[in-house]
Amino acid sequence: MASLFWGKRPYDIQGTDTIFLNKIKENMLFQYQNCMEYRNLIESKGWNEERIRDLKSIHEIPFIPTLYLKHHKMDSLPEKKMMTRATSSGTSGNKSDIGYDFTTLWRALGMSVSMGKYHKMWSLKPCRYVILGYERTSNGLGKRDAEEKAVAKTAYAFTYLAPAKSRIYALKLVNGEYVLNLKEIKESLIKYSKGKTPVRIMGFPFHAFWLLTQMKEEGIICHLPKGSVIAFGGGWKQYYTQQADKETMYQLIEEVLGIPRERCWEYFGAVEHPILYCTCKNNHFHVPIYSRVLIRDVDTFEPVANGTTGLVNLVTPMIRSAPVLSVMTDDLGILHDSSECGCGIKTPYLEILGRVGMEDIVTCAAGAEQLLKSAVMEEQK
Amino acid sequence: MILFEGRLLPNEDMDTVMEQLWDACVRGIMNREDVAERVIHAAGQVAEKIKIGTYDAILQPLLQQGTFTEAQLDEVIQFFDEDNLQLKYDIELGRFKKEVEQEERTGRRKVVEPLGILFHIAAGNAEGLPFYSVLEGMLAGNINILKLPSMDDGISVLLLHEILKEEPSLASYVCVLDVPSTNLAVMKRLADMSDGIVVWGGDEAIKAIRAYASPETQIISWGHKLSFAYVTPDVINDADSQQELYLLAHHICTTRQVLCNSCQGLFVDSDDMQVVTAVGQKFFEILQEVNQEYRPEAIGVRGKISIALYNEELESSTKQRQIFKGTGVSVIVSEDSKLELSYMFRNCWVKPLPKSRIVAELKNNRGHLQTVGLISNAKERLLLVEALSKAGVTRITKAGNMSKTISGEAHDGEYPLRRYCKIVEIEE
Repeated sequence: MASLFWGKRPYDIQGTDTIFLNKIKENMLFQYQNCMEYRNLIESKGWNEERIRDLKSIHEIPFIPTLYLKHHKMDSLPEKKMMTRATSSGTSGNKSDIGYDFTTLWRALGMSVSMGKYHKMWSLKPCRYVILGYERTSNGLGKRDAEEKAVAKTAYAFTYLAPAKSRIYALKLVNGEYVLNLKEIKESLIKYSKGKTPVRIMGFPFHAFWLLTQMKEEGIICHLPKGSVIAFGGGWKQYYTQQADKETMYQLIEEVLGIPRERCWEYFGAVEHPILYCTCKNNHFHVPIYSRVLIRDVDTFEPVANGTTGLVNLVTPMIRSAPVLSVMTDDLGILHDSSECGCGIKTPYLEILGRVGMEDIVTCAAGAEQLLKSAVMEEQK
Repeated sequence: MILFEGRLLPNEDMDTVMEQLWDACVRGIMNREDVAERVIHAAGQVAEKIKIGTYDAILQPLLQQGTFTEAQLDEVIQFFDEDNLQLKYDIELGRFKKEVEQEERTGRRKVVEPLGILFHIAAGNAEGLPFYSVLEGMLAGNINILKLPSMDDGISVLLLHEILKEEPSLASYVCVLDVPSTNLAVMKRLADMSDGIVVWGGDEAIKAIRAYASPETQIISWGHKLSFAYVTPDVINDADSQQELYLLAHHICTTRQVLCNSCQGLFVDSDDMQVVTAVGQKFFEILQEVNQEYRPEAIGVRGKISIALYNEELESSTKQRQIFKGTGVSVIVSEDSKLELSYMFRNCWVKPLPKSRIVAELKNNRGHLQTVGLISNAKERLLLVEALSKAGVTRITKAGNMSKTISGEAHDGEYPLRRYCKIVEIEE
């Protein structure tokens, strides 16, 4: 059987439909046989194997809300088989905690290599990293250690896509507390713009937006060397209706840093669904062959047609070690036909509109946002 | 938006205002007078203007969005029209002042004075509430600093500004600041200036303020409260009581269950789960029917609740509950008798609570009890009222009137204007 995760064409959805369906069935059966809690859950939903006949019927797989995963640790393999665990960046102790075994990580590696190649993220040219996020630390700092947070992990992993000449962080760890350090970031960017080494900036969009707005107001225009990149992860969803409009953001980036929009990468992934979604040259998140995205009606959960707003349900057979093949996120989104984009990628793309509900939006990005707001206040004094 | 000395200023002027605020407050206190009459008159004038449509440009969009209904707006306006404010003042403070000041038994004269400077930290769940909090502070004669809730839509600042335009001599009694509660440095400075901090919010908000307010500052909290309906099952098929259930459903849809007097669920006077479930199903049908008359909640709210209910279903293998779910409404019937917050936005619970256990069960929530909408037969009503009062409830109404407030009625068992005053004794 051809490989789904080590294939060379991450958006060849037609060529991989059959293998995807087989992997889903195989994973479903594996979870059913190896995780008692999951078995009970889906049986209570009246599941039987026969219901998954073709790809159209994958919506019949009972989904698990991330909300449920935050209160229930579910493994399908014994702890000794887990190579690593990751927790989501939730607050107040409610986090998903997912273990990954070797098979899962091997598949994830294949996916990362393939996606990195496709999107030309790998580079042998050394570069400078500016992380608009939490500093990664190696010393143990208890449960709130940044190392635990998938966000910090991703940020750090990002710095391996090209050799690092230097790394600086916006949220530095000083005496066990994260301190916002925009001044140093600004000064460094000015310095880098005079050199030849490309710069790779990465972080929450909210941070970038504040930083760039400030720089623009102060009249700091520093066009970074050719090959520079700005990458965002994990973040538009916090802003929902009042978020900075994406177009404004790209214009601001081009104006202040001189980075063109095709060099603005965005990606998202989640602990419960660690599939990489990267933006195309038109800044859209196309669905790669490793997953399928279902948008469901907010009242009935029935799948809705492309172009309609609903709840985002993510399906992937990648994770063997936990029963997360169909996960319901807390996000509202729209799936658009690939023809609406025109970048050449033939799979539909997902637009995330924001998190459901009105309250309880305090996530680690929102926490960082508050830290930043008070720092801006202090600075203005 | 900042409102300082009668003028509207942009948030950028925050630092300048902070520098001048303390001196302005001290001046305000030195020149303090009994302004109740002027406040009542000016507020009354503003209420009249709303009635004749002067602010429609601002209010109409909010009405259309469904932030509040026409009926709710009318109720709010009535609340601060001249007669009702006068009534409120007389009941809460006027008569009390006279009573205290006429008392001569001790040979010392007594006067009722304002606390001084009040710092209001208002919540955003009820429209215009920040305005109302300041109005109460002014009625009692205090200098008021208001911190607006995040997400404030500007109505409170507008109304206060209009009052100052009506009565410019009140300018030194109001300062509105738009500072986030995460700005601890400024929050602490404001707290340090104040004689009393008026907090609207949940236990967490109150705890946070206790953490930075100095111990001598009085904290006057209007905390989160939970309200519910209490139903005796024998009346469920009688026409009048059914009408009450319909009114309760309307109350749930209009208040969106976000107010402290909004119904979170129904307790049924029974410990037979069959009876409780029957009431649950009946009310679900009514709620579903009534809901059709209202605009649906936002898609994000509905999505969040759908997921939460699905999650409940997954968890119900370990918990005993039955879920009735319709489009945009739900009723969860559970076996426990715990008073808790519902999912809100037209989703409520139904639980057993036989009258013999009312005091024992509800005592666990003594700090959070507020309104009970009572649906019962006439025979048992008195008995139930007694049990509910003993448990610590502060308002018992008809089910449809749970959020209907009347001028001069106590708030969470107290008269706010009295809490904003103190008694000073003077030996002649």
